Formats: sequence, C-alpha cells, structure tokens
Amino acid sequence: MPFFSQRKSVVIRNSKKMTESQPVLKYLKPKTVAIPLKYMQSEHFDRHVDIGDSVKIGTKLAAGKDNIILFSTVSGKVTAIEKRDHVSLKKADHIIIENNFLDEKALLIAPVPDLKTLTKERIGAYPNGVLGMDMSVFTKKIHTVLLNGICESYITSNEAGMLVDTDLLFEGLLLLMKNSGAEKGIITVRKNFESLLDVLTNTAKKYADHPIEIKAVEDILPMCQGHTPLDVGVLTVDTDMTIAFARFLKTGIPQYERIVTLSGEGFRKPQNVQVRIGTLLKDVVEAIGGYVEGLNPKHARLVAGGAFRGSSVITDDLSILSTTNAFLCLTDIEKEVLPCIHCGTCIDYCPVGIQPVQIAAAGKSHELLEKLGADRCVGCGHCSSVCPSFIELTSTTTKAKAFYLSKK
Amino acid sequence: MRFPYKPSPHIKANVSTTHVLHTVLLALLFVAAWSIVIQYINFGADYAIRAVFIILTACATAFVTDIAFYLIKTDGVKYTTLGERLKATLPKAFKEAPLVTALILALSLPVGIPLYAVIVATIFAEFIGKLIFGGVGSNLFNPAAVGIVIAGLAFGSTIVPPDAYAGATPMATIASHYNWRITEAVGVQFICNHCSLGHIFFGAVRGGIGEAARPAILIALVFLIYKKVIDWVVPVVFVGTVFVATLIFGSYLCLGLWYPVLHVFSGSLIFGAVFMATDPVTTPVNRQGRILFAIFLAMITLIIRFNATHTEAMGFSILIMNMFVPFIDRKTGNITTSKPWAKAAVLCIAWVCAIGLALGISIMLG
Repeated sequence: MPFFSQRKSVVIRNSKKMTESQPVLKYLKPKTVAIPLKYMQSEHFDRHVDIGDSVKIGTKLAAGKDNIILFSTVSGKVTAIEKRDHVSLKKADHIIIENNFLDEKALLIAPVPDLKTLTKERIGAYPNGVLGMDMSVFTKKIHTVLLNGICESYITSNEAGMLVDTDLLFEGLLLLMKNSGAEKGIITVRKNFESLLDVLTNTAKKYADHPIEIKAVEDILPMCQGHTPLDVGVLTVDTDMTIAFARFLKTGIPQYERIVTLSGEGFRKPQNVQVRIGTLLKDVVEAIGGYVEGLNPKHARLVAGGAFRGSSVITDDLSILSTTNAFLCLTDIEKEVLPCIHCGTCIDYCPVGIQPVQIAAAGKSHELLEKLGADRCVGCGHCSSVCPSFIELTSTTTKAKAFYLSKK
Repeated sequence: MRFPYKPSPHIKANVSTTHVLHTVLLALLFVAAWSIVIQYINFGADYAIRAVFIILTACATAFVTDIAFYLIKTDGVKYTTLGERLKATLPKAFKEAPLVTALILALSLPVGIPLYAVIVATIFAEFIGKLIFGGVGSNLFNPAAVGIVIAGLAFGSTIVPPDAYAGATPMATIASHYNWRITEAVGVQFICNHCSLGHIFFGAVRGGIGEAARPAILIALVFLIYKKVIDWVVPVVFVGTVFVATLIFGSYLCLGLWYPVLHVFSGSLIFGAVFMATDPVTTPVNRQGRILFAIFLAMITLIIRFNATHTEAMGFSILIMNMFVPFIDRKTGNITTSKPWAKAAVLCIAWVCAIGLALGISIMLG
C-alpha cells in the first residue's frame, strides 16, 4: 500500500541529455591493451600465454573457475605481465598486449551465421562461461524475457549499442526466449528518447510473427519494487549482453569491443566511445578532449558506472572492462553534512521498505538490526541521494548489514 | 590523474535541511504578519504593538541564547580575539534555527504576557529544549512547547488582567468555568453574547497572538504540504480525531454540530497541529508512527481539555507525546509486522482506543 511506504522514485532523465544525441566516437586502434587477470569476483586464472607470445583477437589468454575465459581483444604481442590499478580498487595482474593493427582473428567456437537454426539443445550445450551467463538452470518457470534498455543516470552507452545493432538485439532476444522457454519478449526503452523508440518499433515489424513487445517507460529509478523479477517469472537481461551474446554465436569471436559512456561535468566533451576492451581509460579521455580546464581532482570524483551504484575509482590509469558501461567525472558533489532532522525522506524512497535513518541510529545492537531488517539493504543508494542533510546513509546501512551478517 | 575515493552514490539531493527550515520560517512569518494585522483590526494599535514587541523579544532572545551558548562551547578550538570567536559562532547559531522556535513560541503566547516572561520562556525553550540535547536534530522535546509550558506554569498569573489586555479568552471561560461540559443554553448564550464561530475563526476573540490567525494558519498548511515540508496526515488525523471525539462528547451532552467545530477552532489546536505536531525532529520518522502520534496527541489534548485546570492543552500534550516518539519509532520500524493490512489494523484499533479512553476518562471524572 503506497500510503504507508510511499516508495517514491527518482527521475533521472536530465543526466542523459549530455550524451544521448552525440555521435559515437570510434577509438578502435589502441597502441596497447591491458587485460586484467580478474573477472568479477574471480581472481584465480591459469595463464595460457607468456611474454613474447603472439596473439590474435579471440586468442585464449587465461582460463579460470566456472569456465571463465579471458581472451585477447587485439592482435599483436604480449609484452608484459604487471600489477596495475583495477576498477575494483585493488591492484591486479594485467596482461599487456602491444597492438600490431592487423586485427587477425581466432575463432573460439564455430560460427552460426543463421541464429534461427539453433535449437534449445544446441544453446544448452555451450559451456556457461563461454556465453557469460548461466543459460540452463531456472528454478522458476520463466514466462517473459525482459530486455532492460534503461540504464542508470548519465549512461547512454546501451542505447547507442541498441541503435547500431538493432537486428542482433532482436535475434539475441529470440535466442533467450527459446532457451528459457518464455512465451513473450519485452524490450523497454525510455519514453523521451524518441529516435531509439522509432528504430525499435520499425525493426519490430520485421519480427511481427514473434511475440515481442516494445515498451516505452518513464525514466525513473527504481523501476520495480518489492519483488525481484525472477520471483514473478520474468528474466531480465541487459541489452549490451544480449547483443554481445548474439554476435558471439554468429561470428564465433567473443565480445572484443564495447561502447562506453564518458559523461559528467568534468569532461570537456561528454560522449559515447566505442573501444576495444582493455583500452586504457586515460587514452580514451585524451581522445575525447580531456577534462575541463582547471579541474581540481581533489574536488571531483571519477566513477565507474552510474551515479547511484557506480563505484568511485582513484585513478584514470585503468583498463576498460567488458562490464564497465560508463565512466563519469563528476564535480561539485561535496556538500557539508547537516544534522539529521528525522524527516523520513530516506524511508519514502527506499525500494525495499527499510528505514535507513533508524538503522543508522541502531548502532551495534544486533537485535534492533534484525527487527529493522538491515540485511534487506540492496545498496541502491537512494537514501543518500535524497537526504536533505547529505548524510551517507547508504554507507551506514551497508555497514550495518555487513555487521549484522557477520554476527549472525 | 588521481582522484579521491568516495562512497556511492555520487548524487546528492537538491534541497537541504536549511532550505526546509527556511520554508517553515516563511510560513511562520506570514502567520505572524497576519496576526499582527488581526490584532490591529480587532483590538487596536495598542495590541498590535504589544504583539510586535513580544515577537521581536522572543526572536532576539533566542538568537542571543544561541550565540552565548556557542561562545562558551567552542569544542576545544582556541580563538585569539573575541571578534574571531564571535565570527565563528554566528553560523553555528543560525544553524540552530532559533527564529523558528522563537516564532512558534511567541505566536502561542497571549498578548497580555509581560516581556520578561517572554524572555525567560524563550531562554528555557532554546537552552533546555534544544541546545542542551545537542542542538537541532538531537532534541527530544519540541523546544517551543517547552517554552509555552514554562510561560503558562511560571507566569500564568502575571498576565495582565482582562480590562487592560488579553482578557479572559472564550477558551478560558468555557474551559475554567465549565471544563467544556456546557449545556445547550450556556453554549447558545455564550455564542450569542461573546462571539460567533465566525468570530472565533477570524480571530476576533482574544487568545494567543498567532492562534487567532486561523485563515493564515490554514494557508500556511496548504503551502507547507505543497512544498512537501510536512506530512499532511499529521494535521488531518489529529484534527479529525479531535472532531470525531468531540462530536461524540457533544451528542452525549445533547449539543449540536457547533460543539466540535468550536473545539477545533478554539485555542491553539490548529496552530499546534500545523506547526508543532509536524516538527520532524520530535515526531516519529515513518508514516504509521506519525499517524499513531497524531491519534494519541488528540487523546491527550482532549483529556487535558476536559479534566485539567490548565486551559491550554497543546503544549502539554505535545511534550507528553514527544516522550513516546522513540518507542513509537522502534515499534513501527519492525519489518516483521510491515504488512499494510496489519499497519491499518493497528491504526484502527489505536484510533478507537484513543477516542474511547479520552471520552471514558472525561465522562467518568465528570
């Protein structure tokens, strides 16, 4: 009932204006790329190449647990293996490859030119790691596959990708539907980005014999509250991933390029850039014209990801990963923290219905944290972003959650 | 280029607490201006000037109290000159929102109160009610209510006698002579002789400075709700509960619909509902808690009105309910009972119990 927990949403529309109408800059010839021997939480990889080895696009560099494969994104020579800064803030081993600009390719799997011929069994037979997602096990019956075309604040890279690879998006969606047994596919896009909406509606006509629906929705956060999509039989997939997945099966070479949004007041010309995965961020920043003049990094933030959930990084000497869709350089965020006046705004906006202000006041009382449901926090960042006293409630709540779980 | 690490999210609200306090201050200034004009129109320039003096005295005292407090409490920072020390003190004093407290307090006081009583009440409100707890945000009790109660208890007898100023308010007449248990004849006589409901609404009846400006208070209420500064459920539930309970009590006394209306529009009930019961610091944080707060606030207000000798119930009932705020917060924060129907059921039971208790106690003692 919205009366008791108002469950308000934040409108994030305006932050996307910076980059949505800019053309995508192609930065596809980096001198070197650095591929980290780290993928999400996995850090243990068996290296398959050594310094001096020549590699092609798609050559296996290392393999880890759960069939995760790291591969080269340029053709050239491995020149070094060194510890470098990583988006996760911890240093990690990186394989440095010097580009010979020949773009020779090595196939990882046999390409399937017509994706319609793939059967469910064939898709299931690919090892999970190759596809980058678990394609076989669903505990609940999936009736709808939903491709979420709405990203976080500032980020338009996924929309740029959908504009370029519209056909791959639809083919990927059909594959996902076939694999999960869903009867319906939905692609959501934001209402106020009409050019993308037009392109998708036109392409959908080509697939009129399939139950695919294009839905224009409001650009707000959070989109759904109270349930996880899987609870109600909906599989939500990122559009970037769907396109990469379809392209991989079609060409046999895993995703080696991606579009990344560089946005925020700190960049001189915020825009989307298509880059090789592993390209160094500082090179890309230079290519788009650098930071604004007189930027004092002490009063700015460099963020990998969106403004709500993205994580602050300490340097721009990082390699761009397949999972980073944006880098934001934000200025003028810091505000003096004021005393909490118990206004309850954080409660109104919490998507899971907990009370950050009370959790912050509960301190180390385990019993209270249990009653207040501290473990339900998803770290979405809404409480901090709406607090009129600028208190870092997301930090206090996630810390309280960690404390609660550690003492359980 | 190297950047500092900061926790997510990287987006901040565009309204601040200071902004919220300024909005409330604006609403209060509007009510103050309206009430000064009302005093002038209804009772003459003498009253209006007194009202201005009371408001200015309260504001100045509150501000000076804050400055004095922060001149002494420097948190270990050493200042070489007094000027430097004063300069560091001013922003801290402003942050405590002294004017909001002072205005709420001044507008609740009767015009006949001597100025030294205003000064003492304001110092108590600001120092005991707010600063001693650690400043705005940490105070347990509504500072203005503390001042109102001090003024009423310590200086009640010093209020200048009826002929010169203020006079026995209609509220006081009904409350002290009859404890609100009037008969139809008395009520009709009272309304015919002294005033009409319209008179009461437009402030042509003597009472607290600000509480007479009822139309202004209602405009301020709409403004504050529109600005999303206060939660609309608190005043609505509070006034609604008072109305329903007095309607039942009125029918027990065989009185008409004018009785609950008189209740709602007399004394500082509306003023308190808009400016004191909605103070975020001293009320519960979530909506269920706020509704519970409003329901029991109405109950205590009515019990005091019907049974106590003191005529002004709002300050006492606010202070009493402030004590229960941490308890209400704790109980309504429990996520295991967070089903909407459970919340609604708790509120309905609380509502019936509150009205029943208020009327039961009053009828039993009467």
